[in-house]
Amino acid sequence: MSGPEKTQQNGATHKKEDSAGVFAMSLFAAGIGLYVSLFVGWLVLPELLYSKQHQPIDFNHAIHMEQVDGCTDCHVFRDDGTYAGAPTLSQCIDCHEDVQSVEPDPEDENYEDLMKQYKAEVKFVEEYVANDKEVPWLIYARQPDCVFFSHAAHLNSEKFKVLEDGKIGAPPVEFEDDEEPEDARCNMCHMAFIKGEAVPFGEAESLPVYEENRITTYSRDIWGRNFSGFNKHYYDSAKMDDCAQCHNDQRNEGKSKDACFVCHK
Amino acid sequence: MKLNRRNFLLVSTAGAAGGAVGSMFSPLSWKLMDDSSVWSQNWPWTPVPLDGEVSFEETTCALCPGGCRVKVRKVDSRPVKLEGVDGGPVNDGGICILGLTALQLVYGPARVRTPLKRAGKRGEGKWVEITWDEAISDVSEKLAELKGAGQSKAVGCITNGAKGVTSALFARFMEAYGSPNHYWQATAWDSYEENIQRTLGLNGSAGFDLEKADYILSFGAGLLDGWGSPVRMFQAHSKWRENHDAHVTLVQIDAQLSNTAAKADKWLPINPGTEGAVAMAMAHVIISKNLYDRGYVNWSTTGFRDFFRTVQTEYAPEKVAKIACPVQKPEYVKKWTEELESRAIAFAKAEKPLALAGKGNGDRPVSQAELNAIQSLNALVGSINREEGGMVVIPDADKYPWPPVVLDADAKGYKPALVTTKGRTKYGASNLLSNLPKAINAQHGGLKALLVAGANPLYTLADTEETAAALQKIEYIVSFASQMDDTFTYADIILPDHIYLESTVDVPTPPGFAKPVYGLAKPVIDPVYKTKAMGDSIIEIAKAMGGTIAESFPWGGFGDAMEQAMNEKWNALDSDGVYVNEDFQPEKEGIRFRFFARAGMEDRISLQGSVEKYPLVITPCDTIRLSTGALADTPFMVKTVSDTKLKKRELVVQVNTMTAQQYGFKEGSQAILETPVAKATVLVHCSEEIAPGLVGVPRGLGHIAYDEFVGGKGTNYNTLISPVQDPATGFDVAWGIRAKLT
Ligand code: SF4
Repeated sequence: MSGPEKTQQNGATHKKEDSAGVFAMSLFAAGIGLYVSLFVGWLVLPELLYSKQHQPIDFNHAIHMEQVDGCTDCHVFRDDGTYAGAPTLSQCIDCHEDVQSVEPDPEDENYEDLMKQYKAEVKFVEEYVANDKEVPWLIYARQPDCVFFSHAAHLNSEKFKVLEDGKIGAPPVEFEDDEEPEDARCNMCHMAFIKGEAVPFGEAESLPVYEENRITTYSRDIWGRNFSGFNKHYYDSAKMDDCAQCHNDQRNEGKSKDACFVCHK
Repeated sequence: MKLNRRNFLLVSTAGAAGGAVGSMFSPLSWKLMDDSSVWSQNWPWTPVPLDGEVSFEETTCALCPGGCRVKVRKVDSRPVKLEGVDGGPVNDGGICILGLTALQLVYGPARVRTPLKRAGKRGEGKWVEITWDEAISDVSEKLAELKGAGQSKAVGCITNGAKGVTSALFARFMEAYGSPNHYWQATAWDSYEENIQRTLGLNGSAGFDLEKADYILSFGAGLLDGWGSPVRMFQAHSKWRENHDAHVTLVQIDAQLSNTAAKADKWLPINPGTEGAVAMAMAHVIISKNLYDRGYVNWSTTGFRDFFRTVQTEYAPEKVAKIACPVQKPEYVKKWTEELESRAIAFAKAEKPLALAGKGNGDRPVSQAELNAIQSLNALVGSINREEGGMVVIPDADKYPWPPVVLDADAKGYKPALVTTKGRTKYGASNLLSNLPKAINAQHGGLKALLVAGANPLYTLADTEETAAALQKIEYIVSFASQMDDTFTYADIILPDHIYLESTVDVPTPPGFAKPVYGLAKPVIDPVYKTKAMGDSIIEIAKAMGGTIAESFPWGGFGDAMEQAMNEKWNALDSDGVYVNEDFQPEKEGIRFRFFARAGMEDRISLQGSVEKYPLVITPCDTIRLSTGALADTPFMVKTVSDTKLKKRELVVQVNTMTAQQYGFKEGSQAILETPVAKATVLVHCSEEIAPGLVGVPRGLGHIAYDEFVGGKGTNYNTLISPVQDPATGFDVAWGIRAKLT
């Protein structure tokens, strides 16, 4: 064999090795790309997308529920049937014109919890009541203006309940005989996500961190905790699809004439 | 593996592909897509209505004298909409475009938000914010200084008419202060008041039972262009048209095809300024055909014999046609004359005919000669004080039962007003505001201080240049404007008024309404800015001045003065917001209508300018979409003005197609419109809706102040014309001016 041929053969071997190397590198790069992209998509983006904010006052629903007769005592329906949302100062002042609780005793076994509550109330009275200033609550369930939602219709409707074989998931609340059905209904959608746990709002001892979508400015509760958008429960999210599930069924079963304008007035 | 360019690209592409595949399996792209679509619904400039408790509160609109009952829809404390109140005695659920958009006056950029004091030169627009205490003491000190120097008569005051408690408080202040110089601008309704005194010997204003009339002859009255109480007129018109069995005929006698003329059963075009002569010609027909109401004429009138003679000799339709018919072609004149005759006959034969005066929206006075003629038609057919569908006199309200004004020696002394009157008029010189600028300019130092309360003379008076020169001569101008209006630019200090939604305002019987009705506006929202009701401001100024002036204002505030003024009406007004005198019966006993023989041609008001130099005549066009008074349009209203009146920022004038051709103009041509007093660049709109030789100029445009939405649009009609005095009253009755288009 002549020298140049040899060289050619050697060249061919090199080429093979080289393309295998390139292939391996490409595969590796593709893997890295895939990994980075999945990592960013699943783990980094949720962290970046949502800002974490604390409510101006750490309100304790559980304590208040002991004093009142159900959710709608404070989250009232106005005379015209519209839902008033978060209570206003004028409602709170009925009880909290002055600080109601006493400073806890450091010896108390619940000292820390009691102190937290006490501080929250002092802050509320000093910063808001005294200055006649509404508390700028961050609303977890705030929807865009193009959405019309009637709490009254849902609260009063026979159709609105979690079915035994709930298509979407197990009912978050089992209606007990002695339970106010209204409250149970509120909790079907309004759950507080505290430290990864879904707690009915009425039972929550503090308010969840408000995670605001930096792009849309709506709460994370609307899209849902699950970043993929797949949810198990009624209360996991409050996007259009969630409403549509039930509304579509109703329409398909001929029970209603639901259409876009039911919600988009 | 060698890291050459090719391999590098391959590996990177693989990495990117991996990334791309990964992104398909992560929510990243889907989530971001969803979020961006939600984000796009949240543009910061997209208005989002407030969420809150919806409530409605009723009040009376006080933006014009119309007296409409309105309700404000509020979300929590924020007003979001105004609507008419069903069953409102004047408007029954209706509302006009100004009333509807009044919230733009509350929140608009032209709102004066705090007391201001001029910092730069006049017109420079430099102001410093001051407190209310500073504002009140500034004004009271200046007025006290002038009074101390024996100059009390050199203080003038301009209000928006004479009626209402606020105007009465300003009048009272002027009396206690010792100045005779309180003025307001007369309107067609002032002309009616004068005419009622002259023809019926009564003190009162004109009311028309339009809802019941069945044949209406309107001499240029823009019934659907803002005349009277505008919403009531729209509703009356709908009623006429609803009832097919008893069709009400509306004949519009007008120089142009106004909105009213377009909706009338018949439009009889005439030359502007000949309304009186046309009415006399109609009287001629009615008398000649023996169609007049003998009972009424014999028993309830005087002067018929002379009137009869004059009408028969001077006002034959053929003769009147020579001046009044807009096209002087024999066959046209013949048809026109026949039309006039047939309309006069139908009018006289109708069961409840009614003749109306008041050009356009009625805010310009009408000459007494013209009114005499038009009212003579009403007398001939027995429409004065007729049970139904006639004209009634609403007696002037009693004086407010306030304690007497306390006068010091200075205030007791006689001082002539700066404006002189011609003959005896009901309000003396007071409603001759149109003559004030000339008087100020003629007499140096005539006025040293001026209070402008609810008026905008720089805009509303004819001959803006003369008015501006007069204002410039006044050392100290106090404006109570709620908006940065035209006169505001000349003010030295501003004490901004509330908008009626924030205030208590009384609304006396609306012009032309056939029953005494009183409305009350009550605060339905808290004041949005640091403003104060004008009534409170003047009371505070009076109190700060001390002495007899303070003694003349014994009330704690405007509310007390209002309550005392309303007297027995107060309870009804306080609880219902409106008081209607349902038992009202017009005074008939011993009331005789006096015919005036002189009317029509010889008393025709001649316009300024020679025919040779100025061959055309400007005639104003009014529309409900353009406010012509002290208060300008709201931004929304300006947007609704058609481009045959305003194109971008240019005034569009209407010219007959023949006239346009004669002067070489086409649709949209730019032209210079020149009158003996001013010039303006305009665009020409060619149309058949106006008689040849006329230039139709929209009124209500060309404000020099306000905001970008209202100011600087078109030209103010009043800058182009100059006042022409009615020989009988001295009111400015100019219905136009001679002009040329080049
Ligand atoms: S017509 Fe006059 S009173 Fe009535 S809504 Fe319009 S502006 Fe107000």
